[in-house]
Amino acid sequence: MESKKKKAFRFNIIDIILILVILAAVSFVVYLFLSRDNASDGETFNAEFVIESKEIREEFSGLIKPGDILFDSVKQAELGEVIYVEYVNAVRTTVNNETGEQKAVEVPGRLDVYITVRSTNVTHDGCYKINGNYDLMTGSYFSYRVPGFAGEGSCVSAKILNK
Amino acid sequence: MGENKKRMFRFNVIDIVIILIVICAAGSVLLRHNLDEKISISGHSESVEIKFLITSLDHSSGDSLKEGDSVFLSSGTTPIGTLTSEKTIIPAEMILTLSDGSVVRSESPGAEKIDLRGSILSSGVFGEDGSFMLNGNTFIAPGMTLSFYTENIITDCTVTEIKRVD
Repeated sequence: MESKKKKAFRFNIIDIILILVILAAVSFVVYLFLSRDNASDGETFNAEFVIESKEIREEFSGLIKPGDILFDSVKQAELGEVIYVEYVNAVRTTVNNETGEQKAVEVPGRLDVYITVRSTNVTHDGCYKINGNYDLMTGSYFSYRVPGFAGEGSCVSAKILNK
Repeated sequence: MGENKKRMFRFNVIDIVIILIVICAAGSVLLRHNLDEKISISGHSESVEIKFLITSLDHSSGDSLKEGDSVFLSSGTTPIGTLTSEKTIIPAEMILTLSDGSVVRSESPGAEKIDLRGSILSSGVFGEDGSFMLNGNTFIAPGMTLSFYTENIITDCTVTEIKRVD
C-alpha cells in the first residue's frame, strides 16, 4: 500500500527540466510585455536625427510634412515629430567600368528624401535610445510611417540637444 | 476512505504545466488587447479608392486583374475591397546603370514586362491626423508595399494614393 503511494507522487529530473523551461518561457514573455514602451529610469534627452530614404518615386514628393508624427511601422511606437523635410533628385554612386572612375549621377524619376525628426524621449543605456527600444545612431535603420506616407531609410545624422 | 481522498487531490507536474500555459494564454490576450488599442481607431467608415502600382509584372499576368474581383490581404483572409475598372498598363520602367557609369531610364523591350496601375474600392476610417486605417485597424498609406490576392493572382504592389470616394 505504502509503495503504491510513493509511486503516485514520483517526481523526477525530467519534470524539473520541464518546469524550468516553462518558467523561462513565461519570464521571457513577461519581460517582453513590460519592456514594450519602457524608457530607462535615467535622464531623458531631446534629440534630432535625420532619416534618409533613397530613390523614392517622384509621385510621392510632398507626402511627408513638418508636424507629422513619425511612427515605427512594425512596433507602432512613436519616434518623434518631423520638423523638416527635404526632397532632392536621387543620386547614385556608380563606376565607369572602363576608367574605374567613380561618380555621383542623378537617377531619373526618383528622389532622395531627408527627414529631420525631433524626439523628446531619448535615454542613454549603453547608447542613446528612443523610447528605450530604438538605437539612435548613424546607420540605424527605420521602417517608418507618417499619416500620408510609409517608407524606410537609415539615420544619417543624430545629435543630442540637451546633453 | 482517507486514502481515496488523497488520490483525488493528487497534484502533479502536468497540472503545473497546464496552469502555466493558461497564464501564458491570458498574458498573450492582454498583450494583444494592448496592441489592438494602439493600432486601431474608431470612427465613421468611409469609401475610398486605394490606388496601386505593380511593377515588372509579366505581360500575360495583366489580364488576371479583373474588374469586380474581390481582393484580400495576403497575410490571411482580411478583405480589402474589390477591383475597379481603372487599369493602366505600360511597358515596365527600368532604371539601368550603363558601363560608363551613367544612369538611364528605359522600358522593358517588347513590353515583355509591364507596369500596371489599378485601384481597389475599399472602406476604412480616417484618423484625426489624416492617416487611413483599412477596416479601422490596418494602416495603409502611399509608399507602402501591399501584398494581396484575388481568385486569379497573388502579388505585391505599391500603394500610390488613398482617395476618398464621394
